[in-house]
Amino acid sequence: MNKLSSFILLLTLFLPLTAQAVRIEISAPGEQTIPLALTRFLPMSGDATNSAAEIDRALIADLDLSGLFELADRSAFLSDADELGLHSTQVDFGQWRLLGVDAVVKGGYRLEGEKLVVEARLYDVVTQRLLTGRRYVGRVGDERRIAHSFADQIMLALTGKQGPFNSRLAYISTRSGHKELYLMEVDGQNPSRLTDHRSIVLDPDFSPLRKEIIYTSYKKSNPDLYRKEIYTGSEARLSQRPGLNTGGRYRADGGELVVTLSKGHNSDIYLLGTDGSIHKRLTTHWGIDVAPSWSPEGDKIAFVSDRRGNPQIFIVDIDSLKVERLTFEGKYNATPDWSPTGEWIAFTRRTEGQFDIFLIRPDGTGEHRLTFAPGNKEHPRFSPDGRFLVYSLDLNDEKSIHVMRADGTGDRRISAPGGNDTHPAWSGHWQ
Amino acid sequence: MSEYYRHRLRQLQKLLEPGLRRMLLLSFVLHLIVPIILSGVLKVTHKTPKVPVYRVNLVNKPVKDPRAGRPDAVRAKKKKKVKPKPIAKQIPIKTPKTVKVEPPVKKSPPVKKVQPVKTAETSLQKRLAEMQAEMERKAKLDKLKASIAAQQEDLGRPDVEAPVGEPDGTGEEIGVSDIRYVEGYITEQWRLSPYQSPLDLEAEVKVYYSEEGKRGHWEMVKKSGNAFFDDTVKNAIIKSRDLGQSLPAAGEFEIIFNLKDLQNR
Repeated sequence: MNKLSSFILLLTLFLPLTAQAVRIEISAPGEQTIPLALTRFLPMSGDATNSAAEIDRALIADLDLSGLFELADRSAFLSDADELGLHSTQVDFGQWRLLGVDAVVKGGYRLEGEKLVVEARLYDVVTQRLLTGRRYVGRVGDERRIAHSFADQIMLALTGKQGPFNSRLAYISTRSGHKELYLMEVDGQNPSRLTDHRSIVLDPDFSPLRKEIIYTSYKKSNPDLYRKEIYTGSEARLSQRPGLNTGGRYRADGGELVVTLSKGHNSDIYLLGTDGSIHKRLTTHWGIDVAPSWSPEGDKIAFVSDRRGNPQIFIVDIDSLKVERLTFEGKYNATPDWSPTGEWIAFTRRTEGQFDIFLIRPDGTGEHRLTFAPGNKEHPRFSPDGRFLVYSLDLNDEKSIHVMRADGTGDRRISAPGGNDTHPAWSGHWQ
Repeated sequence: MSEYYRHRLRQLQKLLEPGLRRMLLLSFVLHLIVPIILSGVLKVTHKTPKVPVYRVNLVNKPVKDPRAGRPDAVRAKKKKKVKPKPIAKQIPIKTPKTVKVEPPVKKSPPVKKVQPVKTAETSLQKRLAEMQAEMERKAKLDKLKASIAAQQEDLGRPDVEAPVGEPDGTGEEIGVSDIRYVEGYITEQWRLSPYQSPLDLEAEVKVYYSEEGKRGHWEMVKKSGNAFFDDTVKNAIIKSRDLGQSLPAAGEFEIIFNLKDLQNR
């Protein structure tokens, strides 16, 4: 009985002392970047070569463009930066915690004759676990490709979506004296010319399935649609109807393409098979309909038409052929590009005498301007993951290719100076 | 007679159940305890008079704007600092005797009138001296301004690392709120890029902190549904194992992580 009464007494005493938990709401992170330590790749055997520097440069450029990271100052690195650390047990996470980084990239390379083997790791410093690790086997000279691949892996490990760095950009340049088709890496490195038409080449687009590009060329006097295999170099005319054969864009599954044809009359939007045959006419209007762009689902096409007097963006439903106007602001809206996520359509609008890049949702809401700097910004195209935009800038009589994040930040020139570079197009992942 | 009563008592005891006495005693005790508890007599014994203590961690982590949140006290002091100077000048005026002394001072002008007759050089020298004094004063002021600017620059860097704390308390007892300190500290540890996840996510964590500011058990009460977002939240809690200062009392915190501020931008 004494025990029972003392228990009740204790219970009654403790009841008023149990305090309620304090509720705190944190509505934004303290830092909007991930502090990352990117160590130099070390030789796993033999002497150090230029491979580490090449990998380093490409990785820094990619991770910086991503906007995800705040790269830690290398001068602050401690002794663990000089250790290979390809296994989590070999990494001194305490040292990295001291530097205040949340993630660390480590790696090594080995040359076996002409063969290059690269091991790369990304560790979570807080939980001391391996986030991603890859072994790449290539040839000497593949360092940049390997670095771009691992940058994509880092993005995948930290966001769940692969980065676009191991891809290519096609563009038109006058460096040879004519408007020819060129190809370069996402950071502007290793440009190479693909055509020698000595005429005018325009408006390239990548096939999502093959290493193939379609583009319009005046090689045979008429603006015909061409297809070119990148590695074999074989080229063929896909559409050579009289008048315009321009603005060719592959559907996301590569099964069909949409194109502007005028057939000697008024230009309209058509669906073509991969053999060039007409599958369907999508617009029938006296106005000029050009610059089509697929929705990611492949059920709608955004295009430019002057059917209401000024060039505006419209959307046509492929099944019902119902056309709806998308843009109402501005007197000149052009070159729409539907994001791979389907969330946005990028386009250019002339405001105060210059073209700038805008975004709008497919339902017409959320319209906002991305670029504000001087110069005409044209031909915006989304990266395959929808995170970035590439466009051409016409400033001071020079046209150059720029890349920025899809929110308008992180803008940078990627094409080398000394040429008029326009009409960029972003490939899918370059396997 | 006594034997008769004893006999009756035994009969009654046989009639009563063996545990009834205990039950009766227990109910009696309970009836005693309940009014005591309700009257609050017991509570008083456990109430430790809390002295309101507010801490401002100015030693290790300087506060960006230490005057924030206490406009009245600071402003009042500022005004007082300006006023004393004119008061000091008024002190001689207060004494009427000194006013009486003034007439002989007034007599001095005729003396002054004699001096200018001597030379115009003296007035020029005075002017030069005044100008020199003015120059020196300006140079001193510039030096002071430069030193203040340098000090502000030095202070500017650690501000970023200082935990965000809102002033709290009453009257003159103004300090950093402990809840706000915890909020600021954990916010500081939370690193997430807006490019990393969608902005409409929310996760909730329950975490216990001891009086010494050490993290105890914690659990994720509500997940956001996005593994990458949840990982950043977990990392923030893992990194907040030691708050770096003690709390007035140990307690549990329910912390909601979301990106509402980024959505509104």
